[in-house]
Amino acid sequence: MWLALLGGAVLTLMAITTVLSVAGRYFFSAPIQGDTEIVQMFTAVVVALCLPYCQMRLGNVIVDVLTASAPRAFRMTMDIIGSLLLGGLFAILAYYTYDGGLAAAKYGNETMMLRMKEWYFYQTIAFGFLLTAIAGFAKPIALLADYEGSK
Amino acid sequence: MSSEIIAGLMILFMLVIMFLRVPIGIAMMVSGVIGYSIIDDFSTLTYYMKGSSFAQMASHSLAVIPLFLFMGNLAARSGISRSLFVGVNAFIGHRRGGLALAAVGGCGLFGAICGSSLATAATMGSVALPEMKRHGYHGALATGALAAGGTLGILIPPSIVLIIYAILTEQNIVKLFMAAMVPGVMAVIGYMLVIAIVVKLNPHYADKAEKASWKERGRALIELIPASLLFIGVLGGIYGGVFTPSEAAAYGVIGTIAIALINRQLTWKSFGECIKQTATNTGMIFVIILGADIFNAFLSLSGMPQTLADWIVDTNMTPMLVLMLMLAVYLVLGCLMDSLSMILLTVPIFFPAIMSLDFGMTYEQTALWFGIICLIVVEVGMITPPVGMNVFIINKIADGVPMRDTFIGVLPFLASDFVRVILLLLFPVLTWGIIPD
Repeated sequence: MWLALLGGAVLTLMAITTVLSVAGRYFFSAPIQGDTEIVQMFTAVVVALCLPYCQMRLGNVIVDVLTASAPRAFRMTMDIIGSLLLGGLFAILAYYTYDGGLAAAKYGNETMMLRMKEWYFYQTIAFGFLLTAIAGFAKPIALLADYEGSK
Repeated sequence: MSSEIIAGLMILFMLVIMFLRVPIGIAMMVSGVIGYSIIDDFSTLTYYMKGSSFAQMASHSLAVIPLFLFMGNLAARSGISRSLFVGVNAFIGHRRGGLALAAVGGCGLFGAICGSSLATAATMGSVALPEMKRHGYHGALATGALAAGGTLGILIPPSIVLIIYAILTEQNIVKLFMAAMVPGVMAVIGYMLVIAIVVKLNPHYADKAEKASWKERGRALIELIPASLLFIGVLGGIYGGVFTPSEAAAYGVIGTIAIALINRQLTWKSFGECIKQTATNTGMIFVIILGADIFNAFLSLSGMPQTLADWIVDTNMTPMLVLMLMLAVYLVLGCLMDSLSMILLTVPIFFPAIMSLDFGMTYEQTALWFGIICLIVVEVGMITPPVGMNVFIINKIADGVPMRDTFIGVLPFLASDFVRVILLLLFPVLTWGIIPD
């Protein structure tokens, strides 16, 4: 929840940066240096913050035409499996992105203009993935509680 | 077992778990990981994974997605849809079926700010449906027109699906947006013709509304100014080369916030809602993008798309026949899946095949033309049963209209979609013709 709002704040900031930079380019011929890099890196931050929130709201697209009329217990079981799969995969992605981040830090990868350290953003993504994985593992508990509660 | 057969089996596996409610992006990722591990091995894939998520997410070309989503969500709450509907209605509302015409026109204009079908259908629906009900419009016409009008949201640029297509096929986004212009206008005209014909045949479907005075028209025009500035700024800026698409999207976000503030529609609470909605949409789209990325890494490793393309060329089928077969696949899939997943899933497989055939056009022209046709056919899925997301959302907003009526109401609009696809197949120049050299 707070993550999503933080993500939105970063997104708004990103929009403002770009608008200022474009205005600067046309009216004062003084664009903000490296604005595309800021946007590029911030996109990663925004998305990393959005992913866990999306899973908590079960916002991921599923195909439910064929299972819409199936018994509720079956649907819930499948949703739990789906959520656990998501958790597992994002845990794997988190680990390897973290690993990739370590490599980026070791080689000192930086962006062209602003010399931002790429590994900061690798680790932000890894952190977002980790939270998404946790959301994937935690959601089944909420689903089960819901199901028990409504019986 | 050859790697192509493994690819085929993995596609099958993916579809099966997808239909068993596994989220689409996750289904792609699972089958990608398994398939890659069978053909090569898991440790090779891990090398790829170390950098792939960063490459996908820290991307300047994908930055437009959260920005356009944010803009669309803000626009939906900014009162823009009301001014668009009122504005168009003041001029054509007094004709028979005029409110339905105004709703389609409003959808077309709203589509120029919003890149999503559902958002367009839902926002226009909540404004236009009560008005049509008050004037005694038949439920089938009212809901059919809005469900079909919603598809204009994605057809008329900016369009999230076109952005994804551009990235997948390495085409120029601006040129794709231009190529969608004429088909978009054709869609609006086609839908309006349908409404005119339907009310001609069934005069009791729609009452005439009172004619607006010139004073009222003037006021309606003034209300249209902020929204017009917004899309002239966003689309004109992109076409005119003033903005890159992500700059235009950023400008659009700030502009929409300004309009919403002027209309006194924006509170901290609704701004928070917009952010949450955007976060959910963004998360959803990026799960699919990340899943498709891994799945496509596996597909290209398997060599399956190239084999399929070679095989199609070997069979000596006429290019048109191949294209028709693909469109048939889209129609079937479109009944079950959402548009974005379909594009991410099928374009990497179909695109090489299409590009290896000779349609008598340059490489770029074929790519643009195929993209627009795919987009339209995929959108048809939004209004066909059994999934037809637009139909459901409109039916939900229109209290008391039976589902059957809405589906019947959509049929004539579907017919106009088919006519448009056939026209575009026969005259590809309608897509890339307006792009300056």
